[in-house]
Amino acid sequence: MIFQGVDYLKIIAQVIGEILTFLKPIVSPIGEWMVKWIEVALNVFPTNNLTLYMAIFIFLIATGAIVNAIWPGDKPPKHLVDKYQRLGLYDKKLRKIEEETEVSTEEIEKIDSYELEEKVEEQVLKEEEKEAPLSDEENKEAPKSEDIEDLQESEEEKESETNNETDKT
Amino acid sequence: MAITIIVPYLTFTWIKQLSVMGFYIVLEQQAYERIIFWIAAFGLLISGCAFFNYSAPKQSIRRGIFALLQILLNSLYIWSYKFSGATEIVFSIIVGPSSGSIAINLQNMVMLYMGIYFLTIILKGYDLIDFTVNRDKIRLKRYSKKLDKEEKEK
Repeated sequence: MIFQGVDYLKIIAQVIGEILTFLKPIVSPIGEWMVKWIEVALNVFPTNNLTLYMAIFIFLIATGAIVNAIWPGDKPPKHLVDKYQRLGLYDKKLRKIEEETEVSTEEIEKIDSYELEEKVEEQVLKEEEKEAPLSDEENKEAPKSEDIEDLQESEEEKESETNNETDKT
Repeated sequence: MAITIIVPYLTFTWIKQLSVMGFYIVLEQQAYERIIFWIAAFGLLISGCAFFNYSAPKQSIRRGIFALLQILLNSLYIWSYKFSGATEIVFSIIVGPSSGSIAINLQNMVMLYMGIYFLTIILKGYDLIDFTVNRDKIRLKRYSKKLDKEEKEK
């Protein structure tokens, strides 16, 4: 035989034969099922009328070009655009915070917009504090929260004393 | 287009009159014209779907639909070879006054391809469900990538 005389063809045939015999029990039932529905589908397709296929081809190319040019898919969903614009989440910094807080789109829909605004504002304040800490001099000059409380108490005492004096008089 | 139409067409035209080791082999395929018809018909449909598929945005529903359609058409295309008799190719050998014939049965090979296509159909179906369920997430992700790209360009 001619094909058996060529060595590489012989090797290829043997390898393919081995693969096919190994996969036959798995592939054959799947193949038979595929054949059933394909034969049904092929009966639907018209034969000896290539113009119909050409028309479908042109239609697919034209619609593909138009649809994908008009809607390239780089715009965010409209319902999310409204929410994001209202919350100002177009800003890169805020988007970064959103990623850090892991507020997903589903959560955004669930959470009330006001709650989300508060959450974002809190995060912004925290970020600003982290980014711009007060210097030593500013720390010295700025009154601490404990000092403020003492001052408030002394003022209250003074007021109460003055009130007592007026009562006595 | 090249793979689905031009290459098979040229292959069938080439093997119609083939010479191996000085022997002339003639393709005795009665349904040769029918093979060419199916190659052209399904090739056109597959090419159209492939164009729509690859021009659509990544992970979009329309891409998923056309990828699935393409695989289904590919199955039909492969099976059309069998349908048109291409899986049992008969060659006749003419050596001087004597002559003979060789028959190549490619049915098992086609069945193997069918199994592979079956798995691909399942995969594409899963992709389509995934794209539909996670539509918002995919769109947001795609949009944030676009924003980052614009910022980098600035």
